[in-house]
Amino acid sequence: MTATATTVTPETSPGRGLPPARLTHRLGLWFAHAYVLGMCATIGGAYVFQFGLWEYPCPMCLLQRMFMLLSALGPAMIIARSRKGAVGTAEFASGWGVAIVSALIGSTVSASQVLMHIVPPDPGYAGALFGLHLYTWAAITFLVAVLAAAVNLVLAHGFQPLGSAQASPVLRAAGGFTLAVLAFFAVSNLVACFLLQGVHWQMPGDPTAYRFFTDLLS
Amino acid sequence: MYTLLFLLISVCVWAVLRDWPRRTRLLLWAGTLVLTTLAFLPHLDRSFGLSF
Repeated sequence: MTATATTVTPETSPGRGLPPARLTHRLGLWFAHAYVLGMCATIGGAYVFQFGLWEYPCPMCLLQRMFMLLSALGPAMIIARSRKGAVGTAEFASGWGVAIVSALIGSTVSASQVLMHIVPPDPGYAGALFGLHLYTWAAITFLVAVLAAAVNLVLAHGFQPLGSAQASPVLRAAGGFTLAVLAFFAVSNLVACFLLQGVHWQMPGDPTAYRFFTDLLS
Repeated sequence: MYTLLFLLISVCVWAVLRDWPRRTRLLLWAGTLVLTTLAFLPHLDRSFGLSF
């Protein structure tokens, strides 16, 4: 027998070289969707305060949004890869690792802001939802995100997506939707931040206007 | 400064959407993460009196 067999990797041959995807593998990929959409929904909640209640986000609020987007990038990488072919263990672990690192640093930012406003009679920054300020919700979101991503890694053997997107047209279509939502929140934050900051390098700690417009009109 | 960070994050998302090489995507993400963390440090300094 000659040694002519070549190694088939997911990079070169989508869907081959890996065992067939079962229900748990599909659930693992759906969970990546839920993670990205959950992070986007949290930023969407902040948009309600910013554009609905006309409150201005502080620089630390913006930093927390950044870490949420950076954390969502990990599962987004898994989703994007699943649309091209099978997702192996290394890519799965790498994606969730990205999510955990970003969420951990993000939770530090949120916890710092909670500590800044924790001493009475400090009323806290901006409005509250169910009695908790947005940075407190962000801290909870980050901690739940780290926990969820870590559980995914523990259950990697069953949860790695493998070729489940190839087997399910719905999962493939959902991939386009989820990535489009993430792109929307990244670009809309970019535009909103530019309008808030204008062409200045720094931003006041307690912004009271969209400086791009105030600079334009003054 | 924050606008530039959001611009970098948008580039990261673009890299995922356009399926750039894995190494490039991860380096871009890591660089953005480091810069965003650096942007956070002055807030710690001001609020808690730490000296970086």
